[in-house]
Amino acid sequence: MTELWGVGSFAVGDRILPYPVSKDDHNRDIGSAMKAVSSLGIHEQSRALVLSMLSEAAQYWPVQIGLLITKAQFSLADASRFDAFRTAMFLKAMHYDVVLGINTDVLDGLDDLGHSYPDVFGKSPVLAARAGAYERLRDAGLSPRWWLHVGPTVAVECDQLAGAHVDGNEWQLDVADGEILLTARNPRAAVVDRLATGVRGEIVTDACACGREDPRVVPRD
Amino acid sequence: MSGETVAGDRYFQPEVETMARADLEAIQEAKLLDLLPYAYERSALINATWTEAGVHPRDIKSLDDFRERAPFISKDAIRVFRDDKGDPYGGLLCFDESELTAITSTSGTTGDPTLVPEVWGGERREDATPALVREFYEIGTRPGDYFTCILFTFRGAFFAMVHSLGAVPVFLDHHPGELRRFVELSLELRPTNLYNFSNVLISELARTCEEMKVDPRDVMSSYHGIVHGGEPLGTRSRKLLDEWGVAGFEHTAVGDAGAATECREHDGCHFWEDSVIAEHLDPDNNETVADGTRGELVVTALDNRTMPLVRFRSDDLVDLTRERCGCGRTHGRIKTAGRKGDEVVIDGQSVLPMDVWEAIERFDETAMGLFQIIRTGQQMDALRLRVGHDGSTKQPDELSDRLMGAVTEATGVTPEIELVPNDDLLRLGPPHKIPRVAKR
Ligand SMILES: [Zn+2]
Ligand SMILES: [Zn+2]
Repeated sequence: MTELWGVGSFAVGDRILPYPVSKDDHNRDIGSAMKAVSSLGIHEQSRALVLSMLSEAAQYWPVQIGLLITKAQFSLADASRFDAFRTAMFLKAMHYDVVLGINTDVLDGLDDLGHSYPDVFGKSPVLAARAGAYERLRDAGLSPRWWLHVGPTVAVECDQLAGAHVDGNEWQLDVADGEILLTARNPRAAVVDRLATGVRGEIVTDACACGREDPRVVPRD
Repeated sequence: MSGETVAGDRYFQPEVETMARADLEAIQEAKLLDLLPYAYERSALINATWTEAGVHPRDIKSLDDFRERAPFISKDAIRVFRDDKGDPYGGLLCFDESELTAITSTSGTTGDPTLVPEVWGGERREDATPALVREFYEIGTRPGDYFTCILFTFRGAFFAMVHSLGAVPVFLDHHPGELRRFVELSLELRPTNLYNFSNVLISELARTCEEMKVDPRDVMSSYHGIVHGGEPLGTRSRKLLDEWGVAGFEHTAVGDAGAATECREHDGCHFWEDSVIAEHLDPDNNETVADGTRGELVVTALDNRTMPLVRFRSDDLVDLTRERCGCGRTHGRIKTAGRKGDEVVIDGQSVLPMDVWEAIERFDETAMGLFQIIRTGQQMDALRLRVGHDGSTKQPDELSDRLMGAVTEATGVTPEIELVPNDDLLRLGPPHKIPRVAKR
């Protein structure tokens, strides 16, 4: 096994599991993140706001490297209730083409501050939201896309709005009793073999109209 | 304790860290003379400030010239430029915003967060930055170690420093809810260093260990030390760390131009003088005050080409010394006393949050040390304190009396006390600290 890059985490339901990542894993994860960034329509000179927690560095640091390589500009805020004011501050101060990683904690924090979601997010054309936040943004009249944590990886919805792509070079999707199972295709520091992700949905393997052939998760409420 | 490191092997860059003062100043002078024309040409605020003062970079040929002639930049001047010109960077940004890779922000606990423009060069950000690397090496981080990063995301990838030492970061959120995982991962991976803890986390960790029925000394046994920042550790936190057998290393800002961290001598926080010129001035007359005494920290950031601060008045009151430290390093050290803007003066008596802290923490009901000084201006008729308590007292008046007595003893000023539940103050978070001064 190659040298470790770090020990992050991922969630399955309410459980947070440790997630060791090797330097090789991390480099390949940057490749997956580049695909995700591109699926959100981010290009050179785009500006993105990234909402994450440090415990999620294994998922989100590759995204930041992906943004750097793309030459997109980005800002960072914690995806927490306490830090929701920072999300509101950035979105007030500047235009962001994409906000990604929106979760229910940030929305709860915006509720605390008395902000409406359309006021805060309305000017950003692409809102990539996690489970729970996706539904709340939609119910508030916004048009989010899926930014779906599936075990240790993130599935991202392209502009076809027909399910969220995972990187098929890295991950294999299966479904059992309506629950998505995740398997790593390549050796990793962490064993991920038919991991029950707690995500309910269907798998679509046809090539997408966006051009990506990566499989998609279509979540079910 | 497994936390012993070899005394002779404490420098990451021995030559620079222990260099003679004259050589260090030669580095400063060379970097400064390179920086000044650059900043003068590109930073609108620096240009305007120097023009108004009738000084040009060509007038500055030495550090002495600089100290004698260079004009100051104040927080107010930056704010005024920002508001008048609608420039979020206050006239300090040295190129067009479109060339930035990232726009991050300061923590924002003491007001609105300020935008921090950054230029990260792809993977370059993962390279060694001498700053925190020297500190972590001094504390005892070595290749192959696990290193606990318990932090926020909003300043970006500080863990590059951990990688550059060959250590493996373990990523945790800076939040009391993460402490169970902190305990589990510490017992499993046995990390040797931690960045960074706060009073709130230390206090909560004691409780978490109790709930989990684990011995905090075991949890901490692999750590050579833990770095704590954001605000100074209170007496209770220091006592807990002592009980747990782990050393705390204070970490503090150097007026927005870098950071300073204690070495194993625990006698002030080293700042790196090959990257910052730190002056130490009388806030009232701008004269340099004596080594080892209290003054306002004024900084010039020598390595920052994005938004360099040149003679920036930090408003921070510090005790500063350049005497060679017991560790052998020649770089200066500071001890933070407080912020000019936090000071209240009652009948000529100056009171800073640090002055009342210990008096509040010493009682069980208020042991979390959550309090605010109510400050409508520097000069106040009375010392008014809002103090958080844990709700266990049946006699709040009696608790107020005890607090009044303790604060009077500590400051020489008898306070007015308003008791509120701890949660009311914690809600003012972020989770690691609360604003220590409130307008009402
Ligand atoms: Zn697609
Ligand atoms: Zn020292």
